[in-house]
Amino acid sequence: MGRLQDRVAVITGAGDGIGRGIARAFAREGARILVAELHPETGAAVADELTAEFGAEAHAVTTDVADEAAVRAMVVAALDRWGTVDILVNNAWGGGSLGRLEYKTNEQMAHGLQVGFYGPFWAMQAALPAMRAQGRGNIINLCSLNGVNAHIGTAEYNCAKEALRALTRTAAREWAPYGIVVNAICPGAKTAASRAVFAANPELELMADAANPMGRLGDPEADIAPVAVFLAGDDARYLTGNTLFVDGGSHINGAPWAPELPDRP
Amino acid sequence: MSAPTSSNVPTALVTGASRGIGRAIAIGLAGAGFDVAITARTVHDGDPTAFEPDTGVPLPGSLASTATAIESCGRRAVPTRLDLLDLDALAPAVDAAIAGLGHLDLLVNNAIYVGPGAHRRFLETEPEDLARRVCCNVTAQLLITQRAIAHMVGRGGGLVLDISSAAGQLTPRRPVGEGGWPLAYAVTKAGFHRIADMLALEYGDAGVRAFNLNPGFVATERVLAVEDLAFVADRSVRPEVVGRVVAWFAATGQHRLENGSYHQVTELARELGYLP
Repeated sequence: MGRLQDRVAVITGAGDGIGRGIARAFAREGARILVAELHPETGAAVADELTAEFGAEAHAVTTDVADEAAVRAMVVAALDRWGTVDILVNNAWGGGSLGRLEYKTNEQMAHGLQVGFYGPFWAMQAALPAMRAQGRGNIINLCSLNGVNAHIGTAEYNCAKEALRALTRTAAREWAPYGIVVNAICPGAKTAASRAVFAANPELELMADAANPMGRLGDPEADIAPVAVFLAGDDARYLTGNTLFVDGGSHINGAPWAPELPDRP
Repeated sequence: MSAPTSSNVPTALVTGASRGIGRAIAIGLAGAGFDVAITARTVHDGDPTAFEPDTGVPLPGSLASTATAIESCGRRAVPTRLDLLDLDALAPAVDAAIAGLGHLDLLVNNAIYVGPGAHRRFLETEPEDLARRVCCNVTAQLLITQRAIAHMVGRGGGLVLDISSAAGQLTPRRPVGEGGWPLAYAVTKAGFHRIADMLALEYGDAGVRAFNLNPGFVATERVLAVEDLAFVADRSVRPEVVGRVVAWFAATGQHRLENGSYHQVTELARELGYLP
């Protein structure tokens, strides 16, 4: 009997990185997983992997979280298959840019809010009816130290993630009477996105590891996902509106993150 | 679920929407922006009606679960429990839907009789069962439609989509039990099939548009649970495809196609790119 036995979890961006790590940890605990992923191949591969390794019921749906209809259809797919949604993890991110605030375009800012804020907002709205009907729900929003500490160069990401933290607290208050808990995780981890950056700049990876109080950035599955398992289960039923910094202590260590920025876009 | 509705939101009533084709149509319409009233016998999952009548196999789905999915699409659901056998309850159920929605743009006649003995030849069918099937597959639809289009004519028009079946027009190659459908089903579907074209004739000028849609073979929960329906399951499309086609029909198709006409869901789905 796993800690999330037969619970239905919808996880966005579960085809790689932290989303995949959380999906694997949930599957190990007996959850049924809807792998919502923009890229059909990685989504299907993760769903297959969850079934093969953990015997989990898993199903992949191709989902662009910037598309409201697709986000709502994602939740309906879980309802069609399993009759409810117990756990929603808003993890997906993509399409951000690195550059100075004064050169960010409206399109870049809008895209960031669409993916990082509106997508989770629609998913939470769509998951509410089922969670409210059963008097229980666990929502986890992946937010970021980038926003909390104002890392430079990623304005659209920082703004979307801090808007999502405000939404997390607001939903926690408004939906507390329904038994729904809503929390945020700010992870410090080697994500799918950071892998590409580190591959191109190996010295940045060494710097990032060294700047962490524990001397390393976390692993999605081994370091971040166990906290998500806790927030997704009954042990967290009285914990809501919180942000958990799962970052080896980075948030109490300041942030030496200061990449070289191009002078112009 | 009784909040006032804005009259510019399109609205629909879908009968038989606890599971299967009706549920998929209700969700497809909600995804296309409709507030949706739904009827069925099963109010909650696991109610006594939520079982395949011949085998007792439990079937998922209920008014509550379809309402949840409609709300997940960001639309309003107006559920009303309704048994087609209860003739006196039919027009009041339409009234309840209209009251809950504020007005009615679209009626989808999807519900039919579901009870034991559906896969029997004529002589093995109880006389009372024949009467029930005619009542619930033709009379009930006439009474529901009459109330709905009275409202639509009063508002200057509306749309009726009748979920028809090849059984209403064609003779199967083999009898029921050997890959075909039973006489009673064919006869009642044939009668039902004539509602749309006659509505178009009598009330087309009053703004009523009516069509028959044949969903073809659909992999509903009941089909997948019944061995006698394996021939359907083998050749079937997923219910969601029917839902998407009906949503397209309500938005676009009804204005392009001849009033009173008959269409195959799979053909439309291929033209629209919903099926390969």
